[in-house]
Amino acid sequence: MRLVVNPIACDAFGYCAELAPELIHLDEWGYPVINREVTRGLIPLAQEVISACPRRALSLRDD
Amino acid sequence: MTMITAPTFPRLFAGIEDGPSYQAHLGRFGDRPSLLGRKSEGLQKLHQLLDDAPLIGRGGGGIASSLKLAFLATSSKPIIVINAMEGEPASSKGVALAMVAPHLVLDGAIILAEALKSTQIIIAIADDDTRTTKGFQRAIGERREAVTLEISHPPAHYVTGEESALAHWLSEGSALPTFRPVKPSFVKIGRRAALVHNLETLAHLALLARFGAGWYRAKGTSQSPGTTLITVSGAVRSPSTYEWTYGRTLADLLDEAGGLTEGFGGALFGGYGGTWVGADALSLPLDHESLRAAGATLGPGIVIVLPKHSCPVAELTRVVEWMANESVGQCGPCVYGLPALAKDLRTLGWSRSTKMQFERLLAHLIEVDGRGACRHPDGVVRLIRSSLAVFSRHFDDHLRSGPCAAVNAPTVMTLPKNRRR
Amino acid sequence: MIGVTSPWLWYGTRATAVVGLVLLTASAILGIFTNARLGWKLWPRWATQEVHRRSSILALVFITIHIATTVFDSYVPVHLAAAVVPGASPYQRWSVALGTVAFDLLLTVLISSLLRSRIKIEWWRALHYLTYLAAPVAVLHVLLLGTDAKKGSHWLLAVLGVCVAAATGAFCLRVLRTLKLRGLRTAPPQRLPGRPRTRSR
Repeated sequence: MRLVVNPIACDAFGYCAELAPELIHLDEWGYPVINREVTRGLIPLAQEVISACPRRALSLRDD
Repeated sequence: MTMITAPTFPRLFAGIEDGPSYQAHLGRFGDRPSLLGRKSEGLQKLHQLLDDAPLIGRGGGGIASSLKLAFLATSSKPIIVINAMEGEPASSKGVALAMVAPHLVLDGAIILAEALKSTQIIIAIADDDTRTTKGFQRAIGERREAVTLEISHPPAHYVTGEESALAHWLSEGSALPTFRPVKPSFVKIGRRAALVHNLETLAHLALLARFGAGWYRAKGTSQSPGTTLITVSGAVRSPSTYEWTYGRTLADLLDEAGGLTEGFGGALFGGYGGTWVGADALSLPLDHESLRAAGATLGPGIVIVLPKHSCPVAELTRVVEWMANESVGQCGPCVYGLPALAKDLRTLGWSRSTKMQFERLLAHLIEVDGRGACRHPDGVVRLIRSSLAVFSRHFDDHLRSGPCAAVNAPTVMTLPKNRRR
Repeated sequence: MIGVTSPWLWYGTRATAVVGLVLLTASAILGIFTNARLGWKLWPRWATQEVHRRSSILALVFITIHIATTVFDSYVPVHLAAAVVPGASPYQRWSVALGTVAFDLLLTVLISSLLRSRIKIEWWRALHYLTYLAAPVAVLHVLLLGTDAKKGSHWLLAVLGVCVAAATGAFCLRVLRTLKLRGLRTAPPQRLPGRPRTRSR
């Protein structure tokens, strides 16, 4: 599984990187960069991050 | 009744001497064949034809047309969109087709529409492109068709020709790309499925449907059959759009374009989001497989030749600045990343920059790559990366001894005025 | 309806009202800060949102209890229907109706938030603005119906005053900040120097 950012919806709130630094870091301008695949153990964290996004810009994809 | 013979070469431009009228078109190519059939018969025939050729899209993505068809549900009766948006400043094939063979384009779209039982065809032409508009307006006026043919004018921007931006424009009047996590996928106009094809692809389809896959494959290479339109500009005597047989080399094409105006300094393939190739470009056969091996593509059919004495850093910088201003401002990494890249390059080109500043550029490339909803930022990254590889020595010179003598020479690359969003 | 009355129910109604009021105010302020993207070093920005979410749910729990005790208490003829239908209460029809309206609005906001991942984000945002309508209505409800307020009891008025002042203050901060951010964020990135030539078609 992988986290996908919708860059149009994303507004650089940055909560995702605060909540899950192991999955996401922010670029120079505050926009999220996905670090790694979401392994089974990280799925709950990924879901928490998804629901925390004020712009609902994150989603989990199965490919 | 004159005998119709299949054109050998040129194909799309076969009627260049006859003028663009419908009568001349019919005289040269004959009536449009119909793929009408009961139920999905037409669709099957079409699919077969596209597969046999195979007809590869000329919009820049290099997507097989049959694949695009496969994404459609068989019952969906899609709206056919003819993509005549010429966002690439260095392309003029849209105008060329509108002037020479607008009826081939319309034929192709109508054949598609009939096979798919569609009733609506929309031609998307940039709102400032009066010549292409006039060409198609006249062509539409000459025909009586069962399907509706209309012209839509999205605003002229680099990215408005992107498939999802077009669909967005046609559904909601906003010519901005939309986020599609899985590409390629089909697009929708409102609730209806849409099939977007580059106008050149449709012109080829018109001939393919008439003369068959065997004829289509008689030119070109096994993996890139047929001919394609290439707009050549830069250091050539006769910059223009040429019909070109896949597989013939760039050197030949440059001869066709009147030869070089001065020494060959490299070629940019595929437009402003494309790839630079150095001296080896001259012997490169222009087809999908050879270009892919060189890390490039023809994109929508664009070659720009850099003269030997120009400064590639300066040319690159101006293009990147232009591309940054063309961002439609939806995605952060594009909004902030492209101007950052442009600034890095300007520092590199016009002042003595440090190793650290150069590394900043490299870091920015990584930060921007793949992070937009559309491929606009990726194109800029590809452009810069290939420049760094091809012109590494020139970049080194800039790093070591500051701006070169050619840095303020007039630009070779066409840079239209950026329109306000 | 079972006819029960007890001063405890009345105490419950009053107490939960005050707690609900305070929690709602806190939630509103946090919500405002969430959007203004204010954060501090020791207080990550997502925490503001998280506490906002939790405090609003808690606030609505208290308000639900406030309504339940009111309905349950047979001392005043406020029936179940009045919990959701404005004007359904024969007792203090309009003052109770104000509370009902505020509750309905907040309930809409809460439900839309719970369904946030299933509805269009624009819808969710639009519905969230109902809070700005609910707030003055709720304040009016407290002023008109709060028995302590009517008696001129200073403590309730003081709590209400602090809540109103805090929320209004936060709101003003947000407006100021939005205006400031608007200048920064929607301005297109600075035009870069270049040498534009007209397009040669």
